[in-house]
Amino acid sequence: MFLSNSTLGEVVRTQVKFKMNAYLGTLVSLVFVQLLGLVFSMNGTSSMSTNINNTDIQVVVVSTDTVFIFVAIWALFIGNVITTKGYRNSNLSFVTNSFSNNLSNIIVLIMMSVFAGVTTFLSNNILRTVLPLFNNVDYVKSVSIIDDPLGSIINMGLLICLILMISAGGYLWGTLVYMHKAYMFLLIVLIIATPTTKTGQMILQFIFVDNGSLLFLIVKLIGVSIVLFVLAIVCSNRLEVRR
Amino acid sequence: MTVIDCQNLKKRYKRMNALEDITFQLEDQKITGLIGRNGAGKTTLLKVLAGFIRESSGDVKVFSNNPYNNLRVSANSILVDDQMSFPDSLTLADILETAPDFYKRWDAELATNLFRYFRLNPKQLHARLSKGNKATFNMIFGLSTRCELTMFDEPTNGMDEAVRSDFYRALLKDYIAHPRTILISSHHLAEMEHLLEDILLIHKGKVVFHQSLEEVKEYAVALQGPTNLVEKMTAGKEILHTKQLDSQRKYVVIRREDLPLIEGVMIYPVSASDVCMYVTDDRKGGIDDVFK
Repeated sequence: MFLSNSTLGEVVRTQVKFKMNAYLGTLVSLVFVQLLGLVFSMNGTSSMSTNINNTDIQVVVVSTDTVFIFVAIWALFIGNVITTKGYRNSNLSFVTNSFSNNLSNIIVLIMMSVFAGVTTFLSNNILRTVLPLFNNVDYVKSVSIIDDPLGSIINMGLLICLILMISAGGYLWGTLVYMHKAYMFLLIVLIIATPTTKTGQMILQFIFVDNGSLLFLIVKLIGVSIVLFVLAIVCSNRLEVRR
Repeated sequence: MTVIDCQNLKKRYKRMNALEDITFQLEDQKITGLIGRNGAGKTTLLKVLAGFIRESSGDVKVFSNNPYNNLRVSANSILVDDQMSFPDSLTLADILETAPDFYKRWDAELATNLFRYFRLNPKQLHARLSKGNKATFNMIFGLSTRCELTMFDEPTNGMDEAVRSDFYRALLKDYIAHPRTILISSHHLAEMEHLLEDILLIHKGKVVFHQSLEEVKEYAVALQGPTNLVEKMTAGKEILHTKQLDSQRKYVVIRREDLPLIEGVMIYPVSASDVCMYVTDDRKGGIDDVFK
């Protein structure tokens, strides 16, 4: 009898390759969501007008915040959807165990977050190029990578980590709901309770507000992502499939 | 070498006990038929062996490991059933291309040849296949993995007559070329009897017997003849099945033993399929009695 021995690393690598191939559609949806966000961003998020010596000056702040909000919703959805029954069962049709399945899912989510973060950051440039074509704009001022490389990289890293944390939240959510439908209500309660209760506000403040630098925030976001992922791994270890 | 070793295996679901007490061992390089009636626990047993679900109590070992969440068992075993699913974004051809990454002994030639023979469309999506074609594709996938433990759960469900007989033939040929442990569950024992070496009969979550096909065929005999004579001969014996043929003649199946020859009473062998059916029948009377 010949038994093939696959190591965890090998299996995870094959799984990641397979999943990136199989989930290509999600990246298409990401681009679609980003384009939608860009369309909504065109009008600007705030504007201000002044009049100096009979010259009207209108300053319109245009940002890719809308794009980010759309991408954040996308990340939550993607993290959630890859834990659903169909995805889970089709992953289990190939060699895997719960841990390698989780690990490869997490790696796929990290890769997707990097892609989403970088493209969302760069979508700023599309906006800059397209705005003068459609609006009566004379001058677009914006910080580009060349002006401030370090700051841009930190911003990009921040975006990536935020998206990763949101997808990690979606992943844990999906895992819990897969275990028992009742977790759905618990999570809704949690989402409402966090910004409205004192403890919830304290947690939010600890993560997002009390930061000396952006780098520190990045570290915190990565920490939260790790906690969420580990919780998901622990919860799904006892999960049965194809019932 | 022992491939599967189950000791007092139990599986409880919320409202029922699917497996009550399963104890058996499976040696390597044998084709075993897992036979049982609807709801006997065949599927549950296979899912436990494949590591999809966890046993409630007892001990289960596949390749000397507990199969649940075990990478080694997953790499060396496959369960082919109608719940197999593949991502919607991959075509059948893509799936066959991905498989060798996972299964080191994947037989690409066999896969392509079978795929062509059964005229499946390589651009089709797995979820869009008809029931019969899906079963055929799953079977091709299962055979091509060449896993040391290959399990089929009702593989012929949905296949037409021609594909069924082709499937049995393909399975046998591939098994002879590459012997491995194959476990097939089915309730059509008669149609795949020629493949099997051993039979594992389970009923209500318990093992009834685990014997070679020859032994099962020798398990029982049928007596047919005038009612009074047959009743006299079978008095005090364990009766497996009985049927009143008409007002005078009776048909009774009992465990095989040396019986005196009596004029007018015919002794017939009982097929393995009938043995399995009679042994697991805990009803008194047949379907005819419902309509009396």
